[in-house]
Parts: sequence; structure tokens; C-alpha cells
Amino acid sequence: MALINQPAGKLTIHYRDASGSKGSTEFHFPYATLASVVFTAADLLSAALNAVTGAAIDGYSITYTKFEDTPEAPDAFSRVEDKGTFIYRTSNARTSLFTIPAILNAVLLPNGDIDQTNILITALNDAVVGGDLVFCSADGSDLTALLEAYQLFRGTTKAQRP
Amino acid sequence: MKAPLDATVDTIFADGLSLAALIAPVTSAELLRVRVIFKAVATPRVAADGDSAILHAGAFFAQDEAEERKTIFSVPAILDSLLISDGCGAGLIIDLLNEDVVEMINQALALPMTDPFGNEMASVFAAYRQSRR
Repeated sequence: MALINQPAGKLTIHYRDASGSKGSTEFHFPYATLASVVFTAADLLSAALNAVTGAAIDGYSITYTKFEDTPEAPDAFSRVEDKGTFIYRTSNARTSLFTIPAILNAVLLPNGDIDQTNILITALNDAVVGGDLVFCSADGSDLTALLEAYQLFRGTTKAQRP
Repeated sequence: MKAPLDATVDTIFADGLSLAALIAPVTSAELLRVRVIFKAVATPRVAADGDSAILHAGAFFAQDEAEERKTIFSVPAILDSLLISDGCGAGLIIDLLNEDVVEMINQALALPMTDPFGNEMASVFAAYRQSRR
């Protein structure tokens, strides 16, 4: 059981046509290529693509993926729609959130809040706000404190049925 | 999770796995994959050509040096002006000698472009217009 790299990274160019419909082009590149190198190449490639398409180029994304080669079986009856939602204050007085799918009932309180005194939750929270991890809000500001955390059910899609 | 743009892929993965280890005890699901995605957005957004349609795509076929492994990429709303106008394939085949096409292919190969399995591509040997619904 290990997380292994996919054989190639992926560069996706995003387009929009006159009707507003969206499209994309996918290129692959050697996984070991530095993101900064791909950014430079993507800028040049976008400019070259602009000359051969009538659509507007809205941007691009660069993706590196690791996947579990032998994933373990999830707990019986676990549902990814049953999420734990964690909302953090940020250093610029805004908020930022992330969710954890299939949150365990053991960390929930009867009112649906996540028990912020649970030792597993305090360990997670300490790591998020402690500054040891690189993660931040979408605008780059630090996550400073857990504002609220609660259970949230999302809609089940047809493919998510048991 | 979001990360600063100047963080390296290795740093984000390492911290992501540290975070995943803390998340694992509070979820009944299992980790399948971790992705690091960098996004660049065009500013300002420009208007598309008036007659452009995403479904008219240019399909480009690339191959490796040995001409054994092949892959495809498509360019939405390919310009009609790039299609050959005479002979067999007129209005369908993309002119691989067109200078804009040559420049685009050169930039794509310079990535360097690989197939999804990481095999480096060396040339584009065919291209034509595809219309998709």
C-alpha cells in the first residue's frame, strides 16, 4: 500500500466559445517536470493556441496526481456525502473552509456540531493553524483559528448510491 | 486545501500527506488519491470570435521517435482558415505546414509533451477537424 505518482502530469487549457460553451485541451508532460517550467511552457503554448482557435482562452491548470496503488476497503456504510465541515478564520478577517467526507459519528455531538475537544479533532486543528503545514486560504492568508465545525449532508448522486 | 503559489509540489504533497494522516482517524472513508493543481486565469477575459464553436475541434495525432506510441490532443473551435481547401480532405484536414499550426505544435512538443503514460512525443503526423455534439 503506497501512494505512487501517475506516469505524467497534466496541463489543461480552458476555452470559451462565442456561445459561452466551455472546452479544453489536455497535454501530458513528464511527472518530474517542475511546475515553474510547465508554467513558462504553458504561457507560450497558450499564445500559440490562441492563433489557431476562434475560442477565447480563459486560463489553464497544471495537475500532479499521486494515487493509492492498493486502497483499503472503507468502513461498511461509510458515505462521502456525510461530511464534516470545518470553517476557519483567516489572518485577513475572512473565512475559509474544508470538508472531510464520511466524518465519523464518534467525533460528533448530539446537536450535529463536531466535538472540538475530541483529541483527534484538536490534533487536526493544531496542525492546520499551527503553521507547520503550508495550507492557507484561497487568497493566500493564514488560517488562524477554527470558527465552527459541524456535520453537513450533501445530496447523493445516482452514482453514490450503495 | 489551498496552498501558496510559491510552494513546491513536493512540499504540498508532503504536507498533504501529513494532513491526511490526521484526517484518516476521523473518517470512515479511505484515501484514494492526492492531487496538486496550479491554476492560471486570463485577466482580463477576452471575447471569443463571433462564429467560434467549441464542438468544431482540431484533432492532432502525435507519435514518439520510433513512431510506435501515439497520442491525441484536440483544440476546440479550430479556425476554418487552417483547413486545406483543395483535393482529398478539403475542408477537413488541417494544414500542418501552416505557420501558426507549426508554432503551436512546436510549443506543445516543447513541454515536453508525453502520452498519458509518460512516453515523450516527437512529432505530430496528422490532424483533422472533428465535429462533436
